[in-house]
Amino acid sequence: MSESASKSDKKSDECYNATAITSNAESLEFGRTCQSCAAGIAAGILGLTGFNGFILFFLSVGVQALFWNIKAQGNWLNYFPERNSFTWSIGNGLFTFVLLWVFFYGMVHVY
Amino acid sequence: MTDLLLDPAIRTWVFLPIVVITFLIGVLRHYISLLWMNKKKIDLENIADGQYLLRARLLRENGRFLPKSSFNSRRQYLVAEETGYLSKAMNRPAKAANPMADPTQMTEMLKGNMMNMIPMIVVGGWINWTFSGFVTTRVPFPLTLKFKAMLQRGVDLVSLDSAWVSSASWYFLCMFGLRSIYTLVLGSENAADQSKGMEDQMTGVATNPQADPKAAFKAEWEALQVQQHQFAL
Repeated sequence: MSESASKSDKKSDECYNATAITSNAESLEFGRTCQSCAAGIAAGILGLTGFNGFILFFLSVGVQALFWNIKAQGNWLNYFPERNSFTWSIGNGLFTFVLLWVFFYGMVHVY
Repeated sequence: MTDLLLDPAIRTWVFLPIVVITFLIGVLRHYISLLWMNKKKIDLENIADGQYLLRARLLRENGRFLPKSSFNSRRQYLVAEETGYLSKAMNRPAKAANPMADPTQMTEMLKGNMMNMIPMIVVGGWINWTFSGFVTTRVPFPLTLKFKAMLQRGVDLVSLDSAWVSSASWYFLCMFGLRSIYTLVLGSENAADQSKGMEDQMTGVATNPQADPKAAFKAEWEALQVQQHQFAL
């Protein structure tokens, strides 16, 4: 109780619509999945191994964060309650990335 | 670096089919569960309860934008001693919350469990039986020896490098890794995911959101009682 009270004191002039936040988060999830699929396919076809693949993934995460910021026109906090949403569901993204990376690497380079 | 040469036929008849089968089974599961599961019958009282709780929460969180008199009248409407909705709901006699007492709920639970278990056993067994014993692919990053047991199920070769993946393990990798892609294809409320159901079972989450509305009402009532109004504008 005390925690939530202090939180609401901190940002006392902000008010978010829960439905809109959910919808925004869903679009972030959609973007993240697409981005990790694309990065995974690219890494697999290029035949990157070891750290190079992960570097590609985090590069694409960075590029996407840039795009998200441009899309939000610098007012990220108008759309999301916290700042660190660039790293939105990065764990799921990494999982998808690794799966597609292994798959396309296998299809193209192992056989 | 490829010191092991694999037959391209393995790619065509094992590697690719496992991915396609895993994906299509997930899609099939989603649609079967849409067909099979009855729409949950929700009675009016539950909806009203939920909406009132939501309203109380909104008032608690955003009440600072209202003038004091408006805030107080809304709060009185919810928590007044005899007439407030929350107070009345709190003192409502408890319903029989025992799932055994309600046969329809039992059937739903049974159906849910069957939807989880049958594909797990049947498809997993089938994949293991049909595609067992192949070395399918190699992960493009080095792994330690600990991963051997995880990635080389069904292929017990001591000398094989731990980066190689056997067919059974490839099936499991696909099963867990396709979750985000299902969300992409089927929408966020999909039932395709086996691993999610498994997690629910492991953590023992009772899938009964309306477990005890009285407790929720009590918590909200208390929170609203102690809430101090502070005008923000």
